[in-house]
Amino acid sequence: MHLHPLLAQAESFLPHGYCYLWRPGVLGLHLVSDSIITLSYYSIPVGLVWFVQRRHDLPFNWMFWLFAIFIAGCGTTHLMEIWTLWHPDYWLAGATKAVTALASIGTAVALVPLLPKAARLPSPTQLADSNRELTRANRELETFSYSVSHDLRAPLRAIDGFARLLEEDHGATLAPEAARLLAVIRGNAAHMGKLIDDLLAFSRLERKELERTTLDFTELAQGVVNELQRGHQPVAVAIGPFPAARGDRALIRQVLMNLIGNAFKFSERRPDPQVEIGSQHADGETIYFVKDNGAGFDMQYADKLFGVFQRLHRVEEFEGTGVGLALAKRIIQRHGGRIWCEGRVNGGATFYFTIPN
Amino acid sequence: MSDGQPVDILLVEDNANDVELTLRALRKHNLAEKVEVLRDGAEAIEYFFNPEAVAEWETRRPRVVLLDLKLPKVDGLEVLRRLKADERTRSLPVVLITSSRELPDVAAAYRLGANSYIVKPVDFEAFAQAVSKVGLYWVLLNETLP
Repeated sequence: MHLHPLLAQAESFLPHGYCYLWRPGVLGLHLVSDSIITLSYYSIPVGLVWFVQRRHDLPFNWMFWLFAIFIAGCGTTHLMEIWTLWHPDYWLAGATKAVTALASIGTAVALVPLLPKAARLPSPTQLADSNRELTRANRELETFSYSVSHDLRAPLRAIDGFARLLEEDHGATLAPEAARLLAVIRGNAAHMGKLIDDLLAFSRLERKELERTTLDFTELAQGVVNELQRGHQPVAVAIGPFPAARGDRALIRQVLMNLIGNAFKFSERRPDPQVEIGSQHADGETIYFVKDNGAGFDMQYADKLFGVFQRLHRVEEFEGTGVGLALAKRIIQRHGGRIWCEGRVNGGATFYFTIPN
Repeated sequence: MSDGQPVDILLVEDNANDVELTLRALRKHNLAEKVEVLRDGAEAIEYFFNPEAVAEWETRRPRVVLLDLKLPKVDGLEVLRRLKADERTRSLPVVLITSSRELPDVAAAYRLGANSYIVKPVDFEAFAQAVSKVGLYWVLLNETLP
């Protein structure tokens, strides 16, 4: 009979139990201890893997996998210790040790460059400190917008109100030019009121928690379009189709309201205004777009469009405060997405955005 | 303060311009006759809680309190808290009329038992309309406790 060389060798080895002269005391001591070590060494990797899977944000999570492999290897060497008490498979036991040795060397070597990086990670105390600092700054911002909200509106109401009273009480005796000047005052008060409201909406957004739910884009876009179509000259609108998405309904509706509102605003002077709201699939993500055939813009100003109070048109040309696109950008950013645009002067504009799921 | 005439609307407002605009809006609907104006939170507390107030309660009791939030000395929320904590004044309708649209204010006001919360529009037309609607509703339409 031809035996495999390893097995042939095994026949000449004695089980490890012989070394202990099969004495139940010492045999039991090794058996119980190795069993406990094996069980513990196998349970630690399970815990580590569970931990790594739970914490996707963990830095250096591959290191935890290395630890898991290394510790499981150690467990297996102890399992082999038990096996060889009765079965003299010392080559197999040695091979197990060799694998564990490789894993431990790998782990040890990988740990060297990692340690300084790990030491630089902020500790929970440092994080708590900067968190407290942020909370304080946030509270200050809240106080600030509170006073903006309250104190900046009151004088505006007085300007608008008293200009109106002047019109009401003395309108009959006012020269036409005086009446026009009054109207200019009121128009500016109203515009500033709108600026304050928009700016407050922008700052409120920073403090609002996102409430992600399943979004029906077709329904959202249709609702916005219906609202905008009211009292507006007819615009040819194409909507959808859209895949399912998740996001904060009120905020995404706000984005659509701002983008579609712009599309309406900048195309309304065309004889055939057209607005398209749709989606396309590229590189594994859904890109939503709002496209119009309106006034468009010069691409060299494209990055300015999303800044707060940045406008490319004079107020007399197109109404607006310059906050809408900044607000849309902030909302998309808070969803972890991107927003960008393409346009040509008098050639329409297209705004694109993504919302990662 | 009260000259023995029954009061319909008690306006607690520190901003003189807003007082004038509010009265003007109410006058358009003949609601400005029985309006008492207080200029800060401390005056409001006095009006409701000093010993005279208890004696003259029948004439002092307004049909509605229009309360600004941000007031000198004692702020609007504190006045609201005192009003809703006292058995005698709890049933008074209190309408907060304020510039603040900030959520914590709205939440705090309702938690304390505010009956309504109105944000003052900047536009006078809208402001006048809001004030007169509030006046018409609470003074003419709403039944108060006898």
